[in-house]
Amino acid sequence: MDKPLGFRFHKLSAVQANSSISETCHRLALLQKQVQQSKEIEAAISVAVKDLRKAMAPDGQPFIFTNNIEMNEQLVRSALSRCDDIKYRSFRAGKAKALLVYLSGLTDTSKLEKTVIECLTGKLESNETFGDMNEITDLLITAANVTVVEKPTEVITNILKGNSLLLIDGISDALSIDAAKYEKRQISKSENEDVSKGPHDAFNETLSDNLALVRRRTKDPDLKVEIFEIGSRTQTPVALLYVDDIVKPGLVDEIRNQLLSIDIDKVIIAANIEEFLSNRIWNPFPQALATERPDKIVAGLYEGRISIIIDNSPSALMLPVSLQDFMQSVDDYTERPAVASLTRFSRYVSLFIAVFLPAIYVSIVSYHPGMLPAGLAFSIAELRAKTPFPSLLEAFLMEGLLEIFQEAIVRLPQKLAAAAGVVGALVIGTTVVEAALVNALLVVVIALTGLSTFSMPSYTFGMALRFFRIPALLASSVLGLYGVAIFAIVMIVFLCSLRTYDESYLGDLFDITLIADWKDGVVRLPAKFLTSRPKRLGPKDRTRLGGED
Amino acid sequence: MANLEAKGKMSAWQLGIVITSGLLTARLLTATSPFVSCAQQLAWLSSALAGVLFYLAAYLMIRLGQQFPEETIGEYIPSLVGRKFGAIIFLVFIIVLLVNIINCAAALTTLVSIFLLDRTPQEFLVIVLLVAVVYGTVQDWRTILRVIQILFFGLPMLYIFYSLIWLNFDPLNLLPLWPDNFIGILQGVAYHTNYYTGYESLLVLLPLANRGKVSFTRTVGWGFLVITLIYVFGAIVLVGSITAKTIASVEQPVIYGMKSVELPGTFIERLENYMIMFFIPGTYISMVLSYFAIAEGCRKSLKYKDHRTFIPVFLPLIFWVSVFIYDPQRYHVFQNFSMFIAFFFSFVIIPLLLFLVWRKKGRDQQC
Repeated sequence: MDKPLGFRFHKLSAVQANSSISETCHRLALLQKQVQQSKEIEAAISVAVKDLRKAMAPDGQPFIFTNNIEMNEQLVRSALSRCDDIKYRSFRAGKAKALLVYLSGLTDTSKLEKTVIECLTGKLESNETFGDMNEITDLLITAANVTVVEKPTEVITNILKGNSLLLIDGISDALSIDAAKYEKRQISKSENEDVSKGPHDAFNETLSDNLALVRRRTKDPDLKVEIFEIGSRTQTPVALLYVDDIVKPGLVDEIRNQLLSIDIDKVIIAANIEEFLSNRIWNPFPQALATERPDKIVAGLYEGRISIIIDNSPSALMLPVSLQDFMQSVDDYTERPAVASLTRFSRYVSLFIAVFLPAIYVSIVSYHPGMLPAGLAFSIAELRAKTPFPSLLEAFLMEGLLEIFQEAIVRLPQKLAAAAGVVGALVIGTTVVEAALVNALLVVVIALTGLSTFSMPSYTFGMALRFFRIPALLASSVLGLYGVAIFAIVMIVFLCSLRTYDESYLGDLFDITLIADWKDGVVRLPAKFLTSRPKRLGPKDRTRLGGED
Repeated sequence: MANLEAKGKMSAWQLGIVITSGLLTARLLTATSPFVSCAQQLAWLSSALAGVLFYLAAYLMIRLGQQFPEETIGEYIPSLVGRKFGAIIFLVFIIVLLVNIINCAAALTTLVSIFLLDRTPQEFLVIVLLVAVVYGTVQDWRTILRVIQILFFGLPMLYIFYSLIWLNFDPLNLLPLWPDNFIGILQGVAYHTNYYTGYESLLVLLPLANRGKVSFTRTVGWGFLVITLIYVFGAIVLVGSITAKTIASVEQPVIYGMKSVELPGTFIERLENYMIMFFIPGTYISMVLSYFAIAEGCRKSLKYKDHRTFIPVFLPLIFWVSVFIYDPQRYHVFQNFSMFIAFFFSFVIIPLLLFLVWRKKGRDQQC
């Protein structure tokens, strides 16, 4: 009679009397070593196998597809090993075995079912066979966009883009089927460039949607769209847009070459590209206009500019640009010309205030109080007598506070930002004056400076102005108004020396050779006077009004 | 390509702006006394005659430059007077422009140290100004041209302030209107040299200008007309406001005149400070222009690739002399020297060179 099977736990020494802990450790170490060696052998074998496949494959390809579907599946699996989001679906297509490979989450599976699986399984007899992939695409597959691919690198890239791969036993080619579908943000209102009267739709993160927004605004066959992939790993689609019969000759080639020469592993946001297109990397002023507005892009294209739209980025780039482009808003064209001109002029005044007002305050208070009327000079002196710091330190303190508020408000969720604004404006603003840390006039000066910065239509441009405020303050603290004047001149020289694609960064500002462009610069003349495109951009066709176009 | 036309050489009108703005400097505030002391009430006539005379000099320079369209003075003079004399004349040209830079730096920093920053050493003010000037000069010509155009449009503000002196104007101060002091008026014309120095840079700038339909003599002529009107107007206003006698006896008559202006019930005080502030861009333009002309002239004649090589060469000299002449006596001696050398260059050397060119041309035609 068999003994009943039972387990009992004993001490190791009780089962193997001669064993000891040291002996066990030794054996365990040996076992670990063997496991490690076997892993190394496995890796070496897989490398050798890869090398063998590579030796057979054409240059630049990791392997070559065979007629055997199992072998092909193994090759694809090895190329996409440890990618659990890749799905493999085997089925029978007539007599042959078929395999569908796709990336879950980026593929429309119902579309795949309808346009591929149903077509191949439902329409074929069980003993039917195929000659080549073209036969399948021509007769069976109903998907709109299919491509026969031979190169394994293309196959892998297509799968990772969301296209599905179809492999059929007995055929060494693969079929890439466009069935990409992914979650995306709907086209919505512009968040950073809202306008009161103009169109409200803005770019989202999907390149095709963004291109559609541009195309919807113009039916011009001369609007060309070239799409490249940039980023050795991310292979981000980047679209280059221009109007062929307007853009300056040579400009497209130059920008295209620059884009193609970008050698970087990833392109995540538009700024990645923008930095590569800037010729002065330490220059705080933006050298490409980033916008969320398709109407702005279309307007720029018809002035002879080039636009770059990057997949996964809601900001499109426009270049070449000049300072005036950062000072203009879509509202300037929806308002009456006289009002728009006044608004534009006030922006230029704001620009001056944003950089120089704190510096002028420090100069006058520290060096030239005599320039103020006696009454005002005495009241400022009285206010300053209560505060312990020199005017420069006071200004820096307030500047620091302003920067902190700005950063807090930008980073916080919208509801909290309002609260932070109240805290900043009421609590701290009032308290620093009551605590006699700074005087009330300086609070007014810094608040006005901050508001002037915010009035800039471009946030990036406003940031650059913030950057220049600090050296202006330092210059004023050392040499008063003389320092401010010298700093202003140096800043003008710096701005004059900036160029984007050989265009001056100051555009037509005070350039008498470009006097024809002045009508849409600091002021905006009525539309009927804007008969020509800006001369500074060198368009092939300058006629805007009254010509054939 | 429309915009490339604009980007090549400067236009004739741009040349006119460059020359005009190069002449409007802080010296206008300081150099008035000598010629008013000679010409007295008729200083305005002296200014008008000076305008004609110095335009004549500029005209001769343009004619000389037109004989050698793509060359600067340093390149063509050896072919006219030989290498040794050519080098000497080129050296005189450089000295004229260097003296202009030094005069500008000294005039501006003196005014700033007296009226804006009374406790700041002048050396420091000169260093700061020279740093900015060097930063401007190391740029390419396109950038400098753009800077000049932008700062030029700020100059009208200066004359708005200048015109406030009208408030104290008394026409009786201009009497007698009939000139009885012809010698004094002519002496006053000569003393205008310090007003007008700077147009000599034409001899380097002409090859950088586009020879289009508009002639250089016309655009530069318009520039001189504007400047002459400003000086004539300035002389009338100043003499009419603070009298010729007062002008002759004070160091900075324009500032004196401005100080006497009172705008009751207004926010603006110390008008002279604003005026000095608006003179800074004008003086800067003149300094950069002269410095660029020196560096570019040297580059062309010595066949260098970059004009920037020559910028540090003259810097210590400019600094040292600018500080050295802070003393009023030395300043006056230097003023006389600068007047003499500029006058000699414009009215002796240039006509001589032009004569040699025409003679050479005549000979070539005979051959």
